[in-house]
Amino acid sequence: MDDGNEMSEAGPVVRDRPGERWGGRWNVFNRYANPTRFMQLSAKLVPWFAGATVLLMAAGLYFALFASPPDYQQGESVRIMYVHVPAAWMAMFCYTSMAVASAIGLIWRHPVAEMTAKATAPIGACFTFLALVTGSLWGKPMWGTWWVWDARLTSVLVLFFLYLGYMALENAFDDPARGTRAAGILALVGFVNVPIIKFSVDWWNTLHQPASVVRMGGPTIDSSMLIPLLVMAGAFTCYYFWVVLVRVRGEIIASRIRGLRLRQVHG
Amino acid sequence: MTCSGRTTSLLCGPDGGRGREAEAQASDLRRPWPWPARDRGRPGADGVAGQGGVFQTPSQVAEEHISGNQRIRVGGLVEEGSVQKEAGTQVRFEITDLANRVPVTYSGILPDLFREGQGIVVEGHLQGGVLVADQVLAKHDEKYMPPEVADALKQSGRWQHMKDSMEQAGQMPPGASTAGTSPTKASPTGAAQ
Repeated sequence: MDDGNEMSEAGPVVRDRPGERWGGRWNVFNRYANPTRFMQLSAKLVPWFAGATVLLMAAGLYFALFASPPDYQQGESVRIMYVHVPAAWMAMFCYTSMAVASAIGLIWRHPVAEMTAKATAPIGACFTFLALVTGSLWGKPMWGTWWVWDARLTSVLVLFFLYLGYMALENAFDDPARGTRAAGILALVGFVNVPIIKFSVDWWNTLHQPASVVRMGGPTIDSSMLIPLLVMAGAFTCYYFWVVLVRVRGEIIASRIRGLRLRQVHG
Repeated sequence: MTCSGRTTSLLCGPDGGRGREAEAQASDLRRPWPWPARDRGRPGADGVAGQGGVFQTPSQVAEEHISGNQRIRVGGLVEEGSVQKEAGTQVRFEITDLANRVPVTYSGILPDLFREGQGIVVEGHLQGGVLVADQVLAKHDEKYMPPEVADALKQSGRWQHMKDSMEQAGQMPPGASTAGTSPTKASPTGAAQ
């Protein structure tokens, strides 16, 4: 990882003068590069996201499991969709967040962005796993198979492995900063998979059905099913922000403890 | 999902404004499902599959001589009125591309989406002209609606179930929509190579 060293030499130049170089436009951006400011803001946000998650999840599950109609073809099995689709959306959303945060971390040495990328990986991996498992549970009764190596399923499996690879690489270095940078590059390279997942059902002839919600010509899903789906998607999104804020706070506190211990040892 | 250009999905619907001919061309440009991993490089399978498909149409099965121990995969529609439940989980039906039919027997749990007129892919061996299947796959489309909405659409005459299933199947058996005209179109990206 020689290039990692090069970048760490270039890093401090930017870090020492935040805001100066870009002027007012980047002030907001730089403000939350400061972990102390982030701790203040996130302490206020966490309860809101937690509350929103609980409310939306309760409402979403009620609509999804009780107050929405069965599908004309799938019957009651359609209810798996209310977990599967938001999980799959979040799998891609988390990876996109991880790639953007990694880019910000790599370019501007933004410490909170680096921690956000690191904190997002296990959450995204869980969403991806959930999407794969629920999809498989749906596929067996509907398609007649647990798994098929079509483009959509395979590309989502690759996404799952990218998350695992990110986490493994991140922890493979004695110096955590190098691990974060190496894994950040992997996150950026792997981002190419996200549009492949989205358009796999259009580019290739997959067993997986094409998009029903985010598509040209509007959704092909009845509003009685679309609304619970969107409520569940909102719940999953709030859950992500809740958990990622808690995890980043944990990272900041852990790094402070490390700093204090080092000072104890050397002081 | 776009309704124009090379990446056109055949599920774009009847308002795509394209005829069967164009759809057949588009289907030839697309890789058929399921992903042909198991068949790739296996002698025999490629030769039979032909025409860029990893599954064959019932017409291809009728035309070509296929030996009994050869594993084949056939894509098409479940013939209306052909499904007969027998003892246990045994079921007998016919798969059609609207030109030819292949009788199928299958023992096992059918996918919930299996029904008459539905596009499916069946995998198994031919025994005396009957396809003894060990796997039946059904594809779902992108439409989700409650049964009442489906009924209302059918009553108002806006329902195009059969047409949609045919398009869905058109995505599956490349020859289905061109049966009787020109079943052997060039397949530049065919999986048969």
